[in-house]
Amino acid sequence: MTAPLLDVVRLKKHYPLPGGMFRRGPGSVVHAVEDVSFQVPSGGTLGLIGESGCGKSTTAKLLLRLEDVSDGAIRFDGTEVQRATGPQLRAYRRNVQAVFQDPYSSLSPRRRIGDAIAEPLIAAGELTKEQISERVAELLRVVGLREDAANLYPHEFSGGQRQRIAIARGIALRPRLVILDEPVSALDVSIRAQILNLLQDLQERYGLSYLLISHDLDIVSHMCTDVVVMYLGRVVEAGSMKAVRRSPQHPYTKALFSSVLPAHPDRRPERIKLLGPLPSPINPPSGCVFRTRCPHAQAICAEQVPASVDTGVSRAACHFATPAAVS
Amino acid sequence: MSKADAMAAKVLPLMPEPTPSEPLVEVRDLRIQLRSRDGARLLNVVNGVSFPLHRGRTLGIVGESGCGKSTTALALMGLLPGSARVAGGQVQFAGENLLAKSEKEMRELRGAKISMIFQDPMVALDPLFTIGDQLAEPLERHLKLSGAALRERQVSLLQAVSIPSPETRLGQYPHQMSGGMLQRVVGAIAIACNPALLIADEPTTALDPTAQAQFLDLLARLRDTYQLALIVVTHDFGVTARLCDDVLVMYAGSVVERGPVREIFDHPRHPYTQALLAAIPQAQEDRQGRLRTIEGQPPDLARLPQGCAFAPRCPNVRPKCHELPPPLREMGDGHVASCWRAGEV
Amino acid sequence: MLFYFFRRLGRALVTIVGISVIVFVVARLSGDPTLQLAPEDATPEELAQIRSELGLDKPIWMQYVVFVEHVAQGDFGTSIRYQQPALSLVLSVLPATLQLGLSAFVLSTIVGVLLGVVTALKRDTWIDSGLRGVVVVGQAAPSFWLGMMLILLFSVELQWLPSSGRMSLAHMVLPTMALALSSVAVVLRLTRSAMLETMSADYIRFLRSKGMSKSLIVWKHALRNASIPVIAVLGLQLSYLIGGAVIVETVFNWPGVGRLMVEALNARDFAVIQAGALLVSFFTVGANLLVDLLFGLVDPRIRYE
Repeated sequence: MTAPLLDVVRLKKHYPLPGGMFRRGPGSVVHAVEDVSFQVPSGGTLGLIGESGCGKSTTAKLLLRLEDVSDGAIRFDGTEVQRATGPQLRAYRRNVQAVFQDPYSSLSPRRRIGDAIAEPLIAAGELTKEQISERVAELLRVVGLREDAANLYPHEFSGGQRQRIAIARGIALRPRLVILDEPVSALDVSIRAQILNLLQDLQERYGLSYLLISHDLDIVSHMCTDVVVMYLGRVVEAGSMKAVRRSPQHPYTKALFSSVLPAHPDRRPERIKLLGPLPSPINPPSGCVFRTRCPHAQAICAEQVPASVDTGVSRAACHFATPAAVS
Repeated sequence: MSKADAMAAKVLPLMPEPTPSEPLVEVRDLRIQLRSRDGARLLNVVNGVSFPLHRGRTLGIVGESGCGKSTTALALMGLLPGSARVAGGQVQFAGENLLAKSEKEMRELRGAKISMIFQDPMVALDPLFTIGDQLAEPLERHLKLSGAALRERQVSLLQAVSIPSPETRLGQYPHQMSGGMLQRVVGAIAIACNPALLIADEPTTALDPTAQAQFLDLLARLRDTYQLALIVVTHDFGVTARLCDDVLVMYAGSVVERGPVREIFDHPRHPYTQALLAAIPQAQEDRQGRLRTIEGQPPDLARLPQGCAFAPRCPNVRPKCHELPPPLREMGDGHVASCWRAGEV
Repeated sequence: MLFYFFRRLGRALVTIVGISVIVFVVARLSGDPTLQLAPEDATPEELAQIRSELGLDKPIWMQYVVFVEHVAQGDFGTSIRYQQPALSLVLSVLPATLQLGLSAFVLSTIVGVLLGVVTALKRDTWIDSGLRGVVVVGQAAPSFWLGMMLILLFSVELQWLPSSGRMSLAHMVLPTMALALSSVAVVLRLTRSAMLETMSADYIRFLRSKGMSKSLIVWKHALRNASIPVIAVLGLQLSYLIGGAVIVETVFNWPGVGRLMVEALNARDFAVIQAGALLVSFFTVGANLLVDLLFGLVDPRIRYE
């Protein structure tokens, strides 16, 4: 296996609760991201899945350096960047771009979209004016829009077209990694497929790596080579998308995939139901964080944090995951 | 009968179905116009929708944003926005035309005989009142319950939607509950007065996958227990596959196809339905190929073509398609489609 | 809720300390009172003597400490002008100011909220635009001018109401109106926009789908939700009204703190200025604390914060 483009090692993000003298005692923090490790393979797509509050969006913010990490390392192409500043941070930001769910809110309504796409190019300060407008025209073409679209304003486009514009802006500086945070959730079904295909084309054309965050397991399954499953700030399972999809090893992953809606009325996949509510990330359960909702929980689950076990299919953090036979 | 079903049956005695052969709801050629933003034009947002619906059965109305599916649902409730007006058709409900009823008469039906669930449970409840208050409102208004009887009914309704420790929950506020839990509360409010028709508009779109699956299970259970006629408005064929008996596909305000759910999945006749089904990433298989797409942009109701509304995006378009809008044609087995080429195999 | 209350109380105390510093310093900036007290031919030694009697020869921070010590014991010093305890002087006129400020507050809240709801429900009709037109005029006009216009109309022309003094309930009508009108405008506009916003909220649509009557939806649900931003502004309005009372008092010759303060300022009567400003501040801060608590009562999300 080639060296990963992005290597995340035991990443942590704790938010201390806002307090005063009458508030909860010291040490009261939200464990938003706890010991999260994963790799984005060069040229591949890593899916980050899990339900609201599992820490996937916080992880994206940490990777984009929009928030400071509490602990752990982010290695990009072999270099640690979690504390990078100045030119090093600028170089990193240039290489790691993002496309978010709602393109309308990330585009200024009073700005022609040509200018919006040119913005990162101008900020980089390497191209002449003519080169920039040439590049903007090229980018528009690449994402499937007409070149004269540059003179229009965001409200003159449909949701799908605006997402194309956001993608054009995201790849303007030829980044190597693009973080896709729910890139098609706001779009209609017929438009979703267009955007997903476009993303795949761009990946092939420019050798991009993607980190795809989505709650739609069908889309993640379709797009990703690898997958990381998060629950309450922790990684519970990670492995190749196909393998995890075919035989999930962690009980949470099983429950998650069993909730995917059937693709045909005759298919009624057996549902695994989770018990009880999602615990609070302020006081996560002891031992295995999933134990309060796990159908198989035993005494040991409350006592020890399960280590990540290589099951042959994936790496799963469960006391009852069967390790792969040593060959 | 599961424990939950038994619990639910205890709460609400089954209403006898008057004449099982007659549909509870019969929508005929419903037409709705919407004043355009600038006020200059009237747009045909719903253009001749018809369907029957029996008790205990589920109809899925599928389509993309702006196709008229939610407007159709709101028209059934008598809750159209001020800028919209019914331009024609009938909505027969238990033998009466709802469109001929006054606002006051509709208010007696809403929440009592016809209920609705909306998309986002996080904003469906008033943040300043407890769950108990908001559950009590329809019970006090329609069933004139009070005191211990009210309390008992509140508790059993929360039990019917599988909310643990209902007594505690009644005293809580919406912000203290998760989205999945809130949608259950909304469901409890909707069935509080034992309605005959329940309309759910994108009921699980705002929920996480596991909560979504659980809520769809709940809807199916409530439908079966109370013999509800259920209309589910959705953009997601997965929801129809899980829940529906019949599916109605809308495009640009018109019904393009309607039929039993298996027919629609196995033999879609309209190219739009075919394309929508093909555009779904099939999680069941490991396909790393490309998705089939529908080229072009969603239709602009102010600038619909003269012929078939789907013609500009249709892969099998013929000259005739640009001239005349195709009528809905019977395909057999209650399956209808509006495509000039629907008869061809 | 208790934490919330204590936090707000703490904040209120900090505000009062801040105000006391400002009041103290500003009063000192207004000039040297020694010259007012001393005979015109006083020698520098005599002036120094008076200064030291008044404690004015000490460093200013020490003067402040002494001031706070005394205030804590209810001693705001003696009015140089009336040779009476400043506190009792202010207390004797304070009820008049509070009466005016509070009645204007109650009036503007009730009228503003009612009209706000009406204009929101009758949006874009002649009622809406008419009422809002009147209100814009009310907000633009300064209260003293408004006061004079009211006197001209109701006292001079129509002779319905008295124009000055504080003898009967009738005397209250014009000053209250003059003071309240601009506040009515603020409350109306805010209530209207908050109502429009809540009426389009999803939960209102869900309430309609439950078959709830329009009056229940408007008065129970929409108004309560719309009241949250309105309450926030009511706190400000109260401060503004009590402050504004000072000006209106002069126009209507209303015997309140405002009139007393103007006289005291002219006479550099420190003790009275300090006592007046501080007491008015106490009431304003107290009222704002009440408003904060009201927030907690209305909004469970704050209560459970």
